[in-house]
This record gives sequence, structure tokens and C-alpha cells, in this order.
Amino acid sequence: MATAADKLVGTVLILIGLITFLYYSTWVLVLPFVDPSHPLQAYFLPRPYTVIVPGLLLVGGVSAIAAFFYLIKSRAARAKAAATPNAPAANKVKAT
Amino acid sequence: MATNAAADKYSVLLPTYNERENLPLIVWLLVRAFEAHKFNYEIIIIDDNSPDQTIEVAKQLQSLYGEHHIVLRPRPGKLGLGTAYIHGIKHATGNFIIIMDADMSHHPKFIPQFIAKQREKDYDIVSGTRYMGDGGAFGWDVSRKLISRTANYLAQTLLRPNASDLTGSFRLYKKEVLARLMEECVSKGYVFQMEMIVRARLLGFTLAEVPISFVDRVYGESKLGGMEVVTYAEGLMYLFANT
Amino acid sequence: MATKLQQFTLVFGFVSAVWTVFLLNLQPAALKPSPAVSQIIPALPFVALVAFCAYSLMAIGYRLATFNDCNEASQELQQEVKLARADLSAKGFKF
Repeated sequence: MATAADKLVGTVLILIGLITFLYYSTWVLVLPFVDPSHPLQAYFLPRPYTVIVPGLLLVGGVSAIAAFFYLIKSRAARAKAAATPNAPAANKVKAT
Repeated sequence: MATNAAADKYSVLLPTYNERENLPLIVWLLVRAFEAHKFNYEIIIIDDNSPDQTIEVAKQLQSLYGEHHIVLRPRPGKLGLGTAYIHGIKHATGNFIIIMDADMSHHPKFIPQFIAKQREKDYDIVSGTRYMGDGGAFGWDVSRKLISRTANYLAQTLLRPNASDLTGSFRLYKKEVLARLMEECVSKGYVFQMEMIVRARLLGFTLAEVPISFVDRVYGESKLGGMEVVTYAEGLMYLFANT
Repeated sequence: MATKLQQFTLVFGFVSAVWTVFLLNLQPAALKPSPAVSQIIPALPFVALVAFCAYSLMAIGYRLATFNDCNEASQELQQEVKLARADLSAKGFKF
């Protein structure tokens, strides 16, 4: 059995995935076939944003990951330079 | 080649570093598991000159259980896991090698299940998995589990290894298979465990899995920092590009 | 055997090429899309990306929600530690 917290976080992740997928697919794949005056259109941004929004998110996400890697690696490099040459890297880590 | 069950001998490699508290307990559990099923076994303790005098405890255990069951192969300093396996294989007299952690996170009660699974279809490798059936982990909070699940999902997606737990280190190998894999693998840490499975698949070795419960009692040590994440990602990319 | 990276590059390159042909409207006349469908084509890579990310989130969420926490295994181990200590002490082992 998973704990209550595991189930809660897991369920939230599933819901985020499901809602994102349904909303975006409707927007991109269904809306072009819906009449422009239909009330459903009011819940979605204009057409060009189907590319702009995920495009910006992609650029932002990739930049964030690159920045994370850069930060960690430069910090490690500085720590290594500061440490004495013979200092052991004493971090025993359990399996992931 | 189907082996004669009575002739099988299992060599457990136990690399230790400051495991004075845990070593007698894990050895006791190992002996109990092997004796209950009348398996032929030896426990090879590879101590990297622990400051807490783990070796003194190991010597006591050797006099208690006998030199044919407890084998001491200490090394002068902390030299890492990969070389510990190479060192252990050299001295192992069994035709099967079992690798596991000495800190009690891997329970010896699963070893008879590993052996039964191995004999089912003469598998080359039997790997313990936390991600199937009754497998799991104790002592991890939500974020630790989430990181573990994400890391495993990424590895599954990128490498498609046909094995559910790539980073576990509780496994049974045929001795010659482990020796062959040790020649191939270049990674360190848990990327090393991952590479062993991926290379085994490429070389055509057969693999089966047994669900295990992983009990993390050493809360402080299991923290995952940014550097571990980066190392893991780099290892994954290396295997993605090279296998 | 091709590496995973080569396999990925091959499939990715092929799919991208087909998509580019449709994006630039270079396909044979028989395959000309309707106005509604041609609106969809530019966003198709993002449909694939969003679908993959959404699937990943759901897969990880499901596996997290069904990850055993192994309470019994921990309790059992604590009992066995007591047994082991008692038995080893009885045999003259000094902790």
C-alpha cells in the first residue's frame, strides 16, 4: 500500500496530465471543425497561441534544465578547486 | 547448461565501509536463509579499511561461522563498488555471485526466491525489483519516491531495457556472466547498475526479476542532491547514445 | 545494432520530414488538406509533445500512487534484528 500522501500527489499528477491533454487536444484538433460563432470558442485563445504557448513553455523548460545543470556543475567545479587535492568525495548514496 | 542443483554454490559479495552495527545482523540473516534451504554458500566480506573497525566484527563472525562460510578479503582503502566486485569475483569459489548492500536495506529472505527463480529457466541474472508486484521501499517520503519514480520512468523510456528496476543493487549473477559484464561496464554509482542490465541485454544474457522490499533505515544518507541528479542524467544520456 | 540515439534520430527525422512537407504544402495535390485540417498542421509537433508529457505525468503519478511503502517489511526486520542480537550474544559474539 502506498501512503495517503503518495496517493494524493499521484492523483494530482494524473489529473494535471489528463486535463492538460484533453484541453490542448480539444483546442488544436477539435476547434477548427467547430463553427467560429459557437460558444465553445470563448474558452480558448485565438489560433496562433496553440503554437506560441507551448513553444514558450518548451523554451522556458529547456532553459530551466540547462540553468540547473550549469549551476550544479559550476558549484561542483568550484568546490573541487577549493578542496585539498587529496580530500575524498565522501558521499555514499543509496540506489535511486 | 543446466547446472546440478546440489553442486551449486552461492558467493555473496558484501562490500562494507563502517558497517560495524549492521554486519553481524546481515550475516546472521544470510546464514539463516541459506541454512533453512540447505544451500551451499560463502559470504565474502570486502572491507575497505573502515575506521570503525568493521574488520574486527568480521573476524568474530568468521570464528563463529567458520572460514569456509565467512571469507575476509579486506582492502587497504576506500576503492569503490566496481572494483570491490572485481576483487570479490577473483576470490569467489561459487558458480553464482550475489551482490547486495550490507546496510540491511536488502533482506536475505529474498535470496531463496532469487535462486528458485534462477532455476526455473536457468537465467543468467536475477534482479531484485522495487517496482513490480509486492516490491516497494520503506523509509522514503513522497518527494524521494517521486524522484525515484521519475528517474526510473526516464530510464525505461530512453533505454527500453525490458527490466523494471535498473538502479537496484540486489542481484544474482552467474559468475562468468558477472565477470564478462565487469569487463564491459565503465560507469560508476547507480549508473553502473543500470549499465550492467543494459549491456547484459545487448550481450544476449537472460534476466528475470523478483519483487523485493527495500528498507531504508539510514534516513540521513538517502538524500538526493543536485549533483546526484546531474550524474544520473549524464549517465542516462551516455547509455542512450552508446548502447 | 543501432544505438537508442540512432533509432530515435531515424524515426524523429522521418516524421519531421513528412511534417515539413505538409507544413510547406509540398505534398501531391491528391493529399491537399481541407482549410480546417491545414489549421492543425503547424501545431502537430506540440500535440505530440503535450501528449507525451501528459502521458509521462500520468504514468509517474500512477506509479507513485501505487508504490508500496513496505511498513510490514520494516516491522518484520526490527523483530529479526532483536532475534539476531539475542542469538549472536548467546553464541558469545560481542557487539
